[in-house]
Amino acid sequence: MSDQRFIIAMGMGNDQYGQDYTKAAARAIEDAIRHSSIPMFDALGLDAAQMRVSVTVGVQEPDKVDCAALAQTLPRGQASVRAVFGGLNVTNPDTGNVLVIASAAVEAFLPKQA
Amino acid sequence: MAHVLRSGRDAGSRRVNPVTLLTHKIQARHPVRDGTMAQARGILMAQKRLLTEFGMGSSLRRQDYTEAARRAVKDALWHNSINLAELFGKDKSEMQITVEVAVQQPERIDTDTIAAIFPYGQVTVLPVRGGLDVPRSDGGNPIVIANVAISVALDLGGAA
Repeated sequence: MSDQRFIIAMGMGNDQYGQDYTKAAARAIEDAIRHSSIPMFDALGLDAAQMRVSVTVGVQEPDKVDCAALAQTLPRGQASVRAVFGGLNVTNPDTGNVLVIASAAVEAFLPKQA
Repeated sequence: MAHVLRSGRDAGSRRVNPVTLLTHKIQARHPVRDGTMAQARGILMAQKRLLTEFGMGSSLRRQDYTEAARRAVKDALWHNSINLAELFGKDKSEMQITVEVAVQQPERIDTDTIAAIFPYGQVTVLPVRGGLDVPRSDGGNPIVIANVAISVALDLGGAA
């Protein structure tokens, strides 16, 4: 594809008691995208619908991630979400509680503007 | 070359001297010599803010506002990787980078140290009053929190 990535935002999220990978991933995506803002669309009169958004989340059990639900959480652009093996699960040896950590990378693409 | 000038509340004496920037701007195109003030405003308008990154940093023991700000800048920078210059066919050195740093004692920010973190671009550091100091009950130094916003602008010329 001829479009160009102009930003990749990264984030981390966790779910501390429910072992809910989708919830951890949603928080990771939120952490990633709330560390930046893109006034470019308003500044240049660009249509945000032109933007392609590619999200990759890493968790220890990627099959348990509801990617379609996560795609709905992206505020702008045409988003696709995929889950891969990654993240980190932390087991408390005293209680057996498992805390799940998700990593997220949110990449945004636009047709070359130059 | 055009510069966007921003002034920060309580910005310390070490912030970038706007007069220096103005001198460059006037040398590039003097509003009287080269046209009307409206045209001069047009030059400034061509500088478009395209992206802002946010970060937070702290100094737990030393009440070091510059260190808290440095960590906040790194938090903002290392959560994102941007390729805006490539998108618009510009050189990275053309990026105008405005770093707003908010701490409770902005006059204690060493702006040179903050500016030195950036590998490229034309960096303006603007300390303002904000962030948060969290006092300790034992009377020691407060915990210092810095908020930063790093904004990237490019001169897109006719796109204005």
